[in-house]
Amino acid sequence: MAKKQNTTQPKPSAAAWTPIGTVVGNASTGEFTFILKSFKSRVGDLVAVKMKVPDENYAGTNEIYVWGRVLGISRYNPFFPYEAAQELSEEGVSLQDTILSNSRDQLEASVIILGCTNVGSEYKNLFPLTYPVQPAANVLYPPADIIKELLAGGIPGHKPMHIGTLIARRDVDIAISADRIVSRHMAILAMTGGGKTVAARRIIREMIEIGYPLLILDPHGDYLGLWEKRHLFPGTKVQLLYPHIAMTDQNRHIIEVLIGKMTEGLTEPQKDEMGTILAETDPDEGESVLSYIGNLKDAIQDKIGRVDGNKRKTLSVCMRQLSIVESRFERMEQTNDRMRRRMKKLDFEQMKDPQGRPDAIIAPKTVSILYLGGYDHLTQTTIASILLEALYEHRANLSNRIPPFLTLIEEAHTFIPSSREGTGDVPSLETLRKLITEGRKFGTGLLLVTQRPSRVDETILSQCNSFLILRLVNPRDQNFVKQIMENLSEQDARMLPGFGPGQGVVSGQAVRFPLLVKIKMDEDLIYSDLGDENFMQQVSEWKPDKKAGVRSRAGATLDNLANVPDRRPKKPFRGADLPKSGEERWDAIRKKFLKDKRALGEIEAATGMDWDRKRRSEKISKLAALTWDQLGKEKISADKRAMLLAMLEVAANNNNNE
Amino acid sequence: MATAAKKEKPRKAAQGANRKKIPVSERLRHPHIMTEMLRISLGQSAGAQRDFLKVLEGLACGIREMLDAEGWIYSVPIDHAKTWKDFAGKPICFVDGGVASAQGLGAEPIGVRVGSYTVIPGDTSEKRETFRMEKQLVAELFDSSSPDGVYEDLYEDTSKLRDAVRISLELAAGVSSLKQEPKPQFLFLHGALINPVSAYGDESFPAFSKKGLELLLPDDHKGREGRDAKFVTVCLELLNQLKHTKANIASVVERASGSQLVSMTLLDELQRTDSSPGPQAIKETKNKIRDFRISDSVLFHAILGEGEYLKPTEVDRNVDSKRPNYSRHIIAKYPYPKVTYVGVGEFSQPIRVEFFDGPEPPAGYAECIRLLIHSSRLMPNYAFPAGLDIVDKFAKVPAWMNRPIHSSMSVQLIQQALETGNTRTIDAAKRMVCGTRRDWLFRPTHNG
Ligand SMILES: Nc1ncnc2c1ncn2[C@@H]1O[C@H](COP(=O)(O)OP(=O)(O)OP(=O)(O)O)[C@@H](O)[C@H]1O
Ligand SMILES: [Mg+2]
Repeated sequence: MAKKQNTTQPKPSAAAWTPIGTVVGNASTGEFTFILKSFKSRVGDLVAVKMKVPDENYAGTNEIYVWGRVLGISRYNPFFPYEAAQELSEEGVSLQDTILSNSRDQLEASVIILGCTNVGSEYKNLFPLTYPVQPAANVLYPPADIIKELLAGGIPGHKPMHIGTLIARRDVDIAISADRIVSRHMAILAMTGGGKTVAARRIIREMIEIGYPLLILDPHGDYLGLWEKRHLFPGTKVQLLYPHIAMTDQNRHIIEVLIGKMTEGLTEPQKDEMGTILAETDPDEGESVLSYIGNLKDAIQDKIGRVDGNKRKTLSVCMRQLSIVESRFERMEQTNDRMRRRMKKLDFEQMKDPQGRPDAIIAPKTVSILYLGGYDHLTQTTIASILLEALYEHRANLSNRIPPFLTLIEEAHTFIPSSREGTGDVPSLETLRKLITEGRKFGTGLLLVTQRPSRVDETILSQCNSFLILRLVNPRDQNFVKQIMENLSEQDARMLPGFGPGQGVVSGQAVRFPLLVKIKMDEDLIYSDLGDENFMQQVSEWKPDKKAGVRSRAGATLDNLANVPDRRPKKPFRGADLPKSGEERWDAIRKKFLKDKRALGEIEAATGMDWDRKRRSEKISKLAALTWDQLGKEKISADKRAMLLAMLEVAANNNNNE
Repeated sequence: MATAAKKEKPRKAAQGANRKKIPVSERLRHPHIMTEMLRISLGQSAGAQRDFLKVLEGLACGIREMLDAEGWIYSVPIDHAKTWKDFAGKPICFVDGGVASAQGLGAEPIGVRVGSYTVIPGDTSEKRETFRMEKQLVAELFDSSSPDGVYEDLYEDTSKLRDAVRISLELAAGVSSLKQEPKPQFLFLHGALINPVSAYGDESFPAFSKKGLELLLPDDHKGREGRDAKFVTVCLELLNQLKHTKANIASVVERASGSQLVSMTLLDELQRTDSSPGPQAIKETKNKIRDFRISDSVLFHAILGEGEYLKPTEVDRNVDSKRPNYSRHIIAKYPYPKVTYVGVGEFSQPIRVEFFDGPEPPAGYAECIRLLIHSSRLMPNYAFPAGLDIVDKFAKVPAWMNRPIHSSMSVQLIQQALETGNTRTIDAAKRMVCGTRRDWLFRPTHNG
């Protein structure tokens, strides 16, 4: 209470309101312009103008502070006649040698009005300005404690989350409303390196403080370090999960989706047949996709013996396509597994069945990080869809099995691609659409993170009520952002490409008004490398494992064998199923990349797989020109070769789909 | 450069010009000058229009010939690099004022600001440029209820009161600027150096108040009253203070006026020389000039080429016949300005430059004019010295402030009127505020 008393008193710091300029030109209730004294303010600063307005009854006047944010500052020399430039350059004379002036630059600042507060009352109560700013009025630079009070708590009554400071004033913290983010969603948009992950981690950390249940879909492992740093969050459970696609009665159709996307697809009669088989083969609740596919294959095998002619052919095709899906799934699981094992310090657990054990994933004071590395985009979205669909159902039927939760989705353009991207309907699109529209009702909030906003479904993204936009350079992305955020001013939009890491605009319902913010970087959350970064050390410590000798001897023998021509052609329908040698697969796949101009890093990004950070800038065409043996001579280990192969197979498949 | 040895001296055009001279007739055919001539001739009768160019050409050729013969046209070589090298390190001061437009609100407010811009060419330190508000005044012209008015009393023609304040404040600013650091070696004012003052010299023209005097003559205002406190006396005092400094002082007028004073005076002088074709011819010439209303700026525009200027000619702005008795003996002491026209560019209008009478300024006319020409060539159309443009922008209540201030005052006035609810008052307020009849306030409204 004593504190409250304090704030309602006229401030002792009243003297510290420094005049920094004069309002000029036509001022309105929305914006004004002022001539700024040199070095007295910067873009993003909050400034104030003190003035009188009529009171409610028009009987007298109230004294108010009008609050505004400096949107832009332009500088010009009003004393310099442009014609002089020509005369001077023609004559080879410098301005300083003449009588011309160059010391009187004028700074003209444009300000967007945020609202006003009554003089002498609390600065927290901001109300809209209904009377224009007075021309020629003094523009004031408020002391930090006043601005802090203005921004304190973000929105009255809401749980504040401190995300950083004003760009122009490091002494003023900015808080956003946690309530608004968990119910009305937020998007973090920036080009790569803009600071999205750092910002997202900041928000997560604040959420952890509140104990809010969190789920993170992490395709690149950007958040795995939170587990390593879990000692910083006492009382909070941080768990690293790897995917387990659990089948349920309702989601068996995803098998059809996977066949449609991972293979060349099925004809209508083949689809009918597949549909019948799916309908006849009930999955065990929670069983894995692979085991279910195995069951389906058994079912087909069973049938094949009993039919003949066309029907037999149809079933063979279904069999083959299922095998393709199966082997790809296996490979991706292996890749994910290998990647996890490389991060020795981290303990992963298999994700529990979200249908049967949602509480193992979503619980108060629990952060569940689902690592999706190694899976291709389609599978990632499939996993996300199955997981979130199940969790959503639990929330929507009000079963009380799980509390409200917030889901962070990195690479949101993968999970909710715009229809323009030509990826067709990915499974997660509809799921996330439900989550975002019903988020307010059921407490399924989303924090979407992407570096390509224009590739994200527009209607879904525009349902985010708050945005944090960091550096954005691509004009398409800038335009897109302007479209979905009505209240992004032209000047702010123009700043986007100029932001440094962690600098940006935060706007929407989570703040009282749009602000230029410098996100706080949590230095203590920077984790030690997760194993794949420090190759030098790895190499120096590396010893071949015990079986290496056996492998290489056997490998050489088998390689020789492979050169012997087959005596019999392979069975047609088993053909794709038979594991081919790495060399065979490599020779088949590398042809597709001989003319590919992309860098390996781009392939990694496109497939969502990690290969070798050191080689990211190399062109894929260069490696594709090499044989399997030559790759080995290029000092690419057997493991690395296998991963490269797997990655290219995924990439080739993506190419086919696109 | 055959004439390099004589470079510091004013030179006769015939010797000094190293650029190709364009004959008058050719200059007159140039589109730039033609449009200017056309504009002037349009104000005349059809017959006069037809003959205008012919007359002008004849006059210009004839007068130019006499001036050349007498050596009364001088030439300055145009050379930026050399000029600025020569003036490097010399403080040059420009003084100009602005009057705020706050009229129409009932009382008689006046707002004047006179600024100075002192610059040291070639200096790269922070001292290179000094901007100063030398004199500022926002007050009532006369305020019977307080000692805050500028004058002791009112006068029927308030615009004269305003002019007198502006003229004397600008001179006072010139005086004060010369006392400041860095001490200007050159001081350029804007407008006539010596104004006609007879119109302000009758007995009823009020004396400056104590407040006014303090501002105008900070070192010499005590005990001044009556005639000593009146404009004519104060202004003369300021002129004398200026005249007796060591600085090179001149004033510049860029706007064409209808004045024919210089050509008339010059023709009178020519008549007394050997070049004169005789009194009758000179009289004819003067008649033609009057007849066709050919102003000094038009005539010398036709006569003077790039870098050329006339011999500074003493003119009388305060002829005896117009001096009121009350201040006749004071006005008699006024200096006579030495006036010249200066061709800045081949096809730009000449600027008028005025010096004090008596000896040449310490640096000489030619140096002052060389500086002014090169300063003017930094401006669009070589219109007038860039330094004056800079100080004008500095001193002027900037347009962006003037307009909103004015309109916000107007809005307040109208609001006050509206609060009375009296339609007559409201109408009056509207009329007071709005200069143009087309303003939105005069559009018909539902309540008339
Ligand atoms: N708020 C910040 N303060 C200081 N530095 C920052 C800030 N945010 C980001 N950075 C710097 O920028 C780098 C990249 O940040 P971050 O990983 O968050 O970018 P990103 O947008 O997630 O990029 P990507 O799209 O590649 O994932 C960080 O390693 C850090 O050095
Ligand atoms: Mg990132």
